[in-house]
Amino acid sequence: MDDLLKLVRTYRLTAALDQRLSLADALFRMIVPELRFFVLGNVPHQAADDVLQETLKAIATSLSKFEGGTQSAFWAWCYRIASNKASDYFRKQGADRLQVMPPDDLLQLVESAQPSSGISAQDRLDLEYAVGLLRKAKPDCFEFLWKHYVVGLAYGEIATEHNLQYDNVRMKITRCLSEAQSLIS
Amino acid sequence: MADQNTEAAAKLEKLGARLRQAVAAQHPTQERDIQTALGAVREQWEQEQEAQRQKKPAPSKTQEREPEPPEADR
Repeated sequence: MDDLLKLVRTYRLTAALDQRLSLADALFRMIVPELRFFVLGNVPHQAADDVLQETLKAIATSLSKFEGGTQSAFWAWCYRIASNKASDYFRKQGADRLQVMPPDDLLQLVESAQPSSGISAQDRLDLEYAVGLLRKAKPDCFEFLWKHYVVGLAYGEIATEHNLQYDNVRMKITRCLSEAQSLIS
Repeated sequence: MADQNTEAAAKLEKLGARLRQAVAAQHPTQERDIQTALGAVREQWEQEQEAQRQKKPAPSKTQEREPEPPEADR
């Protein structure tokens, strides 16, 4: 069993506060970077800190009730909570969900964290192609391609989030990817 | 088409990996994030303790032991 799930299971069985705090400390240090990435892809940059904080509180509050048995079930559960918190944000702001990470900013973000000498010519071509695909994708396709390929959500997780059938999501993503490719070439 | 899709998918996944690295480098985990989570853990634990205290039935009056009567003098 992987470390993350071990921590979650041990936490569930632990009653003493000091032990819970120690387990939670280790657990949250493992999941915060990934959750921050997910949140940044779902809400505007200036709201990301607040939405992340709300997400962490909600996960911590319900952790002892999580009943899944796999790491992917745990991540799906965390993403669902983060997604709900992002929806709460948009509801409170009375704003529609927009493309919160515009494709044009993506390469800049990659480069800002790494000097351009650190990206090989082949990698640069690949990254530019990927950004081109996202730029050409229709808005609803952008969301599905982003979630599946960039964030790494499984078809089932996206299906649950959008209340769709697994096969519909799988076919939609395949179709979106083909369409974007045909527009780029 | 399937091969092209696979190649395009791999490039999008590579973008995801690079973005993840970039976000991790620009936003290292802050102590504030961890403390927020630990604060919620503590609060939840206190609520559970309170709920348990309330669940415990109050001792029934009929079961309370009455003081023994003084032994009669012989």
